[in-house]
Amino acid sequence: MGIVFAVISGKGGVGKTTTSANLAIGTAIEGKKTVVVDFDIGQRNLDMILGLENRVVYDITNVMDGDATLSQALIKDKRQENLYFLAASQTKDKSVLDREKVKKLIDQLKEEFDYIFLDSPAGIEGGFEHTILYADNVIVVVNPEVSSIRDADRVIGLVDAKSHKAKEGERVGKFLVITRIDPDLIEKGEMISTEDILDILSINLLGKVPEDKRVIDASNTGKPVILHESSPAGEAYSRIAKRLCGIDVPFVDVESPEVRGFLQKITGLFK
Amino acid sequence: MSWFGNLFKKETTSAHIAKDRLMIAIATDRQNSLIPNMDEMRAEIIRVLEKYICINDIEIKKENKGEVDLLEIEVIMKK
Ligand SMILES: Nc1ncnc2c1ncn2[C@@H]1O[C@H](COP(=O)(O)OP(=O)(O)OP(=O)(O)O)[C@@H](O)[C@H]1O
Ligand SMILES: [Mg+2]
Repeated sequence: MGIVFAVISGKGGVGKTTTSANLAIGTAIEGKKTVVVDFDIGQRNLDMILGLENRVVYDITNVMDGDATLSQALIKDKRQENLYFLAASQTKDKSVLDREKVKKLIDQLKEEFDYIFLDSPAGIEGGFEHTILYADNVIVVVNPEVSSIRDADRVIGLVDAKSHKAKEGERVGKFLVITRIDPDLIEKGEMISTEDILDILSINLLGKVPEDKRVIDASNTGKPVILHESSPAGEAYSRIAKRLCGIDVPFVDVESPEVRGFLQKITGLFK
Repeated sequence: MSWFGNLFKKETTSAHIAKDRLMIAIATDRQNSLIPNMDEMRAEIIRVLEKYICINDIEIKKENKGEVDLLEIEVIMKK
């Protein structure tokens, strides 16, 4: 039975799609049969980030409405064994907001895959609720910035209220990914540190991802950073993916500039 | 920067100010975010009440009375 991870944030544009894409590739690399689903209905995005936009024939709405089978709609990544993708529809059809259909789809995915990542839309309505409805775990993505952190607190508070699993009395795992960390700004005291964020939010840290210019390059070319050589963000995502697969990977200090450079060299050696 | 330098800097940096402001804002948010499934609960309470009395509306408020949180449900009845 597969494990469902909902990637959420509250505030938009913080890095959910980037995180979903890279972690899905990362767990696929670790040998998990992985599917990543674009739940941002009406705003298809993940296909471009994954470089699979030309292969989308059927989308999530087609599957939920019974116009296509799951296997017809799933796109198998040619570069990455074990990785599959299900696209969001470009139009927002109200029928998508049907809990029963969402459940049926997730159940089907759990049969077939080890890891299931759901890339949530921004906000706390509709699509967001559906991504956490049947999630086993949530990955909360946050930037070291006040409005993002505040919104993260709100969504963390909503998870147990909206999750089916929590209503059944089971625990929903909640993990934090802090991304777009700028070591120079932290050094200068102009960016909130990981320590402070963890003081404010009551949630376990899953990983820290530094600001990395290559993320833009990655979205330009449709090749996520985790597949780039010596990309600090890519390496961070690779560590997080390993942690998700139960591998004990020590936390790397991506916050102080000197330490970062040093550790990069070291991790480079073992790569 | 030495830890000594850090010690002094911490109090005045914008990151420190951000943390202080966030702590207060989030504490208020948490206080104000009533019950997460408020709409559902409200609808259900109305359904139950309507079985027994004629009601116009209900109002739900959460208040902090020092030691305890208080949930106030005001039922406005039809005349
Ligand atoms: N580590 C990083 N370094 C630099 N840029 C980043 C990083 N992570 C994400 N970005 C950039 O931030 C922007 C938003 O990222 P992304 O689309 O993943 O966010 P999102 O949370 O999915 O947004 P939305 O809420 O609109 O769905 C993109 O332009 C992306 O390239
Ligand atoms: Mg997105």
